[in-house]
Amino acid sequence: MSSDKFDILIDEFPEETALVRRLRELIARALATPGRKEFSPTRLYDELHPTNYRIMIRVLSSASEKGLLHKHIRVESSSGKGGIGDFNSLIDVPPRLYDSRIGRDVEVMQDQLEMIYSIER
Amino acid sequence: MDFNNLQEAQQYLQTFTDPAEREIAEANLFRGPTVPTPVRKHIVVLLHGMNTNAEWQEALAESMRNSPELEPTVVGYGNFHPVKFWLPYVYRRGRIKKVLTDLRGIRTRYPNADISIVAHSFGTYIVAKILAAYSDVKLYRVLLCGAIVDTDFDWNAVSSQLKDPVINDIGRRDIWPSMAKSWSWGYGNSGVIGFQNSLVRDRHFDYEHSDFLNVAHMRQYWLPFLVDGKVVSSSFSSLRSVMSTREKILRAFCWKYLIMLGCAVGALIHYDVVLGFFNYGMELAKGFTAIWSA
Repeated sequence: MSSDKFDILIDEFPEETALVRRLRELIARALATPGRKEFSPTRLYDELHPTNYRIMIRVLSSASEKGLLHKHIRVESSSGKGGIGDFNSLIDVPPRLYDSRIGRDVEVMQDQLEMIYSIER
Repeated sequence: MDFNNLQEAQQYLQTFTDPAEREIAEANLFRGPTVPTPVRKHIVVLLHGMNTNAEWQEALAESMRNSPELEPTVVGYGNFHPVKFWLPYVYRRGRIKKVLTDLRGIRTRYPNADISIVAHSFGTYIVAKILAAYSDVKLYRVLLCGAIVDTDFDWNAVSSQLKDPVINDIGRRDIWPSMAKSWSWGYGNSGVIGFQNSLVRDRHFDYEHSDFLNVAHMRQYWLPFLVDGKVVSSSFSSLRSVMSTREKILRAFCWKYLIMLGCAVGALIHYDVVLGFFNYGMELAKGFTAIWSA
């Protein structure tokens, strides 16, 4: 993990230095354990204590551009057995998708969608 | 999500032209119930300059769509001819009245809302005049750019009408505030040198008169102030350059007096020419009369 990237983030959001520091700690903790760590925006809001939701999304967006974490829109299987596709944006999600968990094409419903920020070693 | 289906949500996101704002809008769709949503309505009045069109107001309004508590409202005063801008008082009063009526209308419709103003150029003059003359007008946050308000404006006298310090975004390459001050009456070059008052945060940028009116600037500097009252510092403040020659010339002369002198000389010459023709006509008439009598 490059501390330079966090320094750049602090330069970009000088008013949000505390938020960026908490993000750095969260990412460091996530990287200290094996596997992929995933967070919903609401969970990140609870962990990072931003001034507001909007500024947190702006910081996370910039952090994503720097490769510190990755944002996905995940389509969950209607069977409840896990994800069936990850997309960069909600706009990229197709109206129908093959659900490998149940073996057929399904129409993507809004309750199957999740926004995920992932951190991976 | 607040939408009935995926297609509706996608269509909504596609209405955002700015990718960063689209991303925030997308994240808002996944905002969990534990993330608080502000409930108090905050109306942001966007007041344009003399001849700027509504583009910047629309751009700022779009940037605000992701802050559900903010409700942008465009207030205008129509086209304002430069001659009317130059003439002191006479034509300005009507424009001030028009904006005042709109502001009072907003207050009547939303008695409990916070009302903030973002004003550019001649709009800043109108805001200052309204604050000074009408103590019932109370504003939550005031953001000025390209200001042509008198630098001696008495902010202390209106402090009870303001909640937060006023932000004054200054363009170091902006010649128009100095032009306004030197060419006419009642204006000031606060958009170039600032107010230097404890109730105002002067913020310098390497900008010309309308360079503030872009989405990147609004997002970086205006929204944090409007949403949270945060004043994001400009890196240019500590590096600002010395005054340009053009600026020195504009500030050195009171062009309005030269213009008046020119007008007076012009009128005298005009009068002299007219008088000359009149006298010449009289002489001719006398001549004809004399010939006729003979």
